[in-house]
Amino acid sequence: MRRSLFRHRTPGPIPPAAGLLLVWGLLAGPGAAGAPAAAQSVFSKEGLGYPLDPLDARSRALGAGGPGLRGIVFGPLDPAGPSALYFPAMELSLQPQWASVQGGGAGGGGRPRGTRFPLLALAYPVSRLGGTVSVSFGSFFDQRWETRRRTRVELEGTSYPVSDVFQSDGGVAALRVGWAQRLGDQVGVGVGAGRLTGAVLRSLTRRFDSVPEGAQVVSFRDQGRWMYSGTTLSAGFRWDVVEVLRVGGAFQWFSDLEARPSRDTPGEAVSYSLPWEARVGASAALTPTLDLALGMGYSRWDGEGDGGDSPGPSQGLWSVGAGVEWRGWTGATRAYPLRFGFRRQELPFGPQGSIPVESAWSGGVGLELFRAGEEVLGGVDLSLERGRRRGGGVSENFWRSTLTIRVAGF
Amino acid sequence: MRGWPDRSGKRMRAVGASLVLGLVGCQERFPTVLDDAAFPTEAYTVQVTLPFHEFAKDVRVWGGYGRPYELPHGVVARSYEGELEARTLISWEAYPGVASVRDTTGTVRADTALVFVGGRVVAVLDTLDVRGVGGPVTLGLGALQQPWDLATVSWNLAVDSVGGRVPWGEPGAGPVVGLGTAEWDRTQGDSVVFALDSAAVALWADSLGQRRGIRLEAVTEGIRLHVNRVTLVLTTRPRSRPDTLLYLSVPARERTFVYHPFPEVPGGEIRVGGVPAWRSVLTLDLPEKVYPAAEVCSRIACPITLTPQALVSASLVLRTQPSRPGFTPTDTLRVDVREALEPSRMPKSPLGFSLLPFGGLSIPPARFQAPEGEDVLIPLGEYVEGLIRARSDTTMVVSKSVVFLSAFEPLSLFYGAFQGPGSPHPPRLRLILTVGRGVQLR
Repeated sequence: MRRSLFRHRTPGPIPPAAGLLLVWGLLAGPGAAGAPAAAQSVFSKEGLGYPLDPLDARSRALGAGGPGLRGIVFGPLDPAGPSALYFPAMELSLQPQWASVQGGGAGGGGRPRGTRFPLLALAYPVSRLGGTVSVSFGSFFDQRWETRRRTRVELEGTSYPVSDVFQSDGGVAALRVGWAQRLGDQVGVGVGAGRLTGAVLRSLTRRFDSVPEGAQVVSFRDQGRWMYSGTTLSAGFRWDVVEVLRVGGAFQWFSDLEARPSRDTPGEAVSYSLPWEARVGASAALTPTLDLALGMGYSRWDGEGDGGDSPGPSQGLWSVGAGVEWRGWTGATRAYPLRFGFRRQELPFGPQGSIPVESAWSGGVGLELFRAGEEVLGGVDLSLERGRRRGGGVSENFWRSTLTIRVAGF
Repeated sequence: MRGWPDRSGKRMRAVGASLVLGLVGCQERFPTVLDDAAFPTEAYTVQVTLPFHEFAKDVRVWGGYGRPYELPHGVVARSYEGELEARTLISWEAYPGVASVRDTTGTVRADTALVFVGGRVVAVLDTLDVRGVGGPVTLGLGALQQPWDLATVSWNLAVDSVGGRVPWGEPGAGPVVGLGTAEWDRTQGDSVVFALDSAAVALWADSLGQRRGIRLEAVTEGIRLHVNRVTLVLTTRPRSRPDTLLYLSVPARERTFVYHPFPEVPGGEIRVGGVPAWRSVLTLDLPEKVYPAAEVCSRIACPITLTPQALVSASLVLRTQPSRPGFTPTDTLRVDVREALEPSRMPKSPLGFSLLPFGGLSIPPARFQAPEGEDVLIPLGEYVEGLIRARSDTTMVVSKSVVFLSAFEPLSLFYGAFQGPGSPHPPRLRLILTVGRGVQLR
């Protein structure tokens, strides 16, 4: 008779699970108490927007997002990762962020905030074939921003103040389907295909701050909506060199991103060229309770600078990251891994065609909810990053938290 | 083979709670760039004023809405502003036939043998709305000699119905049997009392006499007053207590007023209000494109096509003009604007809902007193937008005729007058338009 690991537990003072989730809720959900939650970046305004990597909280905390991480990994940036899965698994990530902007012509920029859902992934092993099918829906570009100005209009000799607001609301995401195949116990390969999807609504609103006497004046609004589409292909490998060392690699290719106007929007469709991306990573168990992770990425843009059909730089962009995971903090039946990391990446779009750089220190903790032997089948991971983006005279400090909920073996 | 784990409901609830907390935190504040140079597009706001012939077909004035008796007061005037004459007519309810009398034993008995030995007419006047002279005024009372019809009585006609017209013996609701005069000083109170003898009260002892009633008029020249209420108080001596006088009130059954001259509508005038009230019907014919001033066209493409998106304001500009003497507004005129749902059935076309906020536009009397008149803006943005939309949306039905009327009909003897087509300052339509370069993806 198999003894349940989770029944008959005596409740203690603020169980660690509830405490961890309470902390995340306080970080992520201050909107419940009226304070701002998270946001994206003023760099969303540039080019195709702010790139959002579909990474879970563990990858964020370790700094080295992408292939080669030990443990259960099945995000879209590691096509071969699901080959190590023996159970069905699902994970959902939420990512609140808040920032403060200084400098440049941005005149302050304020404190943007918002919450995104960078990743929803599902993996299902097909034991008969020795592989795993995966489906993921992950973020790609964020295009939410607005710009404001105050000006005056002259109406028959009298000047009236007006406020103009230009707003962009939307983004691009990727829906991917993948297959990861085990080639023995130590090697796995994976391929994936997907569609880029999304939409953006751009609008101009003009409001009179004072009106001519006796007149009723309504706001003027002009807007356009475009739907995005494109294709992505990916491939990757996983190699458990020895029991304590895993390396991995992934390659992504993107077709042109098509932006079609809606029926009510005048104009023609626009096509943007996107880069290809390559990532490599490795993780090693330095001690039974300490892992080291490293990662590096390269994306090759063939842009023409800001604007045009080929946005972005005409050069490659690098990202590097490293982190450690320590599983020495344990309870009676489970461990609470702590993670620390650092990441630096170059962003493709910046003011005046600059190449902004984002760097962030990160930390995180995991909560293992379900375990079968050595495998963590269900858990919650929380990460918190503190970083800065700089480019084109604009500087933006941010906090970003990520919560990932993972369930496996259902 | 790897085993399947058990699940804990408590932990799943904790996960669910954290999700809720995180989702609740989804308050969005967009990153904001405050940089004029970064504005991706441009918009231009211009004002275009269309003369009458460019936005309208015609204006027609219809009268006869409401009757003087529907006003909450009567009017008396004599040579007010050199012209206006007005007299208030009142008919009586039936005299009381029984009175409760306490006899010598202290018992209250009903006495039906009432002898009316005299009485008084008490008129309550509006002490605030007194026009003309400032001091005491003299009013006159007379007993009418013929019956009259409340709904159709006028200065010259006692009855004016389809079945027949009956003129007054004298213009001005005459002749009357004079019942005396009385002086009224508003600083001393709001009532004026006319004493009556037994012969006077006997004039209205029967139903025919009661229907004839009285005529109240001003003797002092140059004044205009409002009569709020008139009551007949009878003095009676009951047979059961001949040494006792009782005062019994007889309320007015009908009250109206007649006036002269009737202010005919001159050509080219837009009129609102008065009694019977006037309504003015404006038929619009909007252009598809408008032409702003030349200097504006150097910045934007002209002409500008009228679209619902481009229209941010539309106001009809009317220039006030003095009313006929005696009918100049002395209080706020409340003007409403409504669609004429069936213009071909004017003056009896049903009307739509008010096109103005708060049920109407209040115009203070001072706006009508300037010799050159003053511009009054009537906001019609939503209506004009509907006209523009209806061009392309065949499911929308918007009448091209709008009616200008008093918010309440009738509201007052005075009316508001505006310059119409053909006048030095005919109606104009002031449009504020915003045109943009269009929102692009780059």
